[in-house]
Amino acid sequence: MNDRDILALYQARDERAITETADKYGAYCAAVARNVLHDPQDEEECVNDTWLTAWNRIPPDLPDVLRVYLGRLTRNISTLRRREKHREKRGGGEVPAALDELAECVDSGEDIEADYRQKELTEAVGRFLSRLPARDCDLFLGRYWFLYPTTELAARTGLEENYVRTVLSRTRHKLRVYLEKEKLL
Amino acid sequence: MKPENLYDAVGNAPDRLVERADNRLNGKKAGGARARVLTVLAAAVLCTAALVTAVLLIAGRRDTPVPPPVDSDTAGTRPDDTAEPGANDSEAPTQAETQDLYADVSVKGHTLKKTADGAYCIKPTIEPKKHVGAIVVADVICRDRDDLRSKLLNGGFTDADYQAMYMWPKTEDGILLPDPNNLKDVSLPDDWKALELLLMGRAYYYLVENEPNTMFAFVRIIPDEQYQTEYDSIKSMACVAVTKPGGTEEEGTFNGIPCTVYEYISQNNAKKFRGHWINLSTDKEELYASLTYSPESPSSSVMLDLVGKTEDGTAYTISFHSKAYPEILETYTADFFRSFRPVP
Repeated sequence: MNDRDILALYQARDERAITETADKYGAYCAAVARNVLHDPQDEEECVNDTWLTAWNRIPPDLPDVLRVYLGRLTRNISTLRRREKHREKRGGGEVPAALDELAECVDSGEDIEADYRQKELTEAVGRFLSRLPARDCDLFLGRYWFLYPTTELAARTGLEENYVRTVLSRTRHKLRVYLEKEKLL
Repeated sequence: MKPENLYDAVGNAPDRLVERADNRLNGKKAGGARARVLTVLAAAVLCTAALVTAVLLIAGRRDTPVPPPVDSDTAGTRPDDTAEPGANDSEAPTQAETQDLYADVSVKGHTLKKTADGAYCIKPTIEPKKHVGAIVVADVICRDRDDLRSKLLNGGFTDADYQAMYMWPKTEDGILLPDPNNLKDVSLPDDWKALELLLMGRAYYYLVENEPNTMFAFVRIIPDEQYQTEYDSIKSMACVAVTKPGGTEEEGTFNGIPCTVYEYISQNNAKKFRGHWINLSTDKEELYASLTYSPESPSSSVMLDLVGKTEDGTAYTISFHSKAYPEILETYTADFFRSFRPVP
């Protein structure tokens, strides 16, 4: 089934949308989750959460590219899961719980400012990436969006690993310079 | 700022960039420079296979005895060659003529529909971009030569196959590219430079349909940055397969190779149209071309000529020509081609 038909199912609130999405993009989203989590059980849960989130968001969301949309959901969900797990490891679950409780006492203005800065940062990164040569941008996203190790990036692009590392290093440097120029650092 | 902030910002990179990276990284598996070359070769050899196979298929259907494969000594020469349509801008099809090519074509009950930008698709709902997916995923249908051969001899593809075409490459359970390791015996002939340029970057060939007289194949071309500027200037593309014709079509030459070209493709006639390459679509990142091919004679020389037209109408020609084909036929894939010949 093509994406347009799948989206039509979402629009019609037809639950086949989920099964069709899972059939078509299950492997892809699992791969995205795997790179973030490295835990089969968490992967599966995050992918399932992706379907649920997509179901809840479409509509009103109407993705231009369903594959990218789902990949992004999976990445974000998997990232949240990973952070939760790390917090639990550090503080047995109590530290983050305590922080959450104390957050009620803190001026929420900081959150708003942080959100604003995050939005600015996101836009700046988007602009920066848009100006990169296509290959450098692809490598950068391959490393930091898809989270491929450099060895795998090299294999997938047919480039030497050292070359990939060099490109990534230069791109990171360029990004730093760009963010400084944008007063975001 | 924490690294997490940057990580999240990258995670929200623009869709089009993520999509492009996804295509580059997940649409291809390679093992280095050699694999890169082999991948190009895989595409090139398979493309050649389709064309020469078409020659042989036709040969198998002729009443007269089947001539031997193209002789490299005689390939590319015809006594009555008179024109050079491939290289001449004035001979290139006008936009209107090109558009005429985009009549719907019915193949085995499947209708190839044109899209708004002239791209062909297998079903009317498919979008130009998705058509690329169809091209790529077609490889799911023909995972290897045996499968390809089987599908050719047994009547092509099912509806389910067409459904599968809509799927974009999977990264886990379906490697959609020809496996370069299965093509260890090929190397790049010197005179394939033009083809190399044409296919530079990533190029995939997929056979998606076969009829007795027609091969449908698709080539996806993603030029390297080195050639990006040239490709950027191309707004439309006509692809012309040149053969020694058996019909009444006009003939000409291009680099001394006999050809039948634009007059032919300018006709709004589905049957005529089948014999030639047509353009699909281009954008700033990628070029796509499809071909249909039904050569009239197995002893004809085969030339493929891509003509891109810039926005102002200037023709831009990229060609890769037939000199390589006899070599390939003899050196690399003769058995492969012959194996496709239908049983009389």
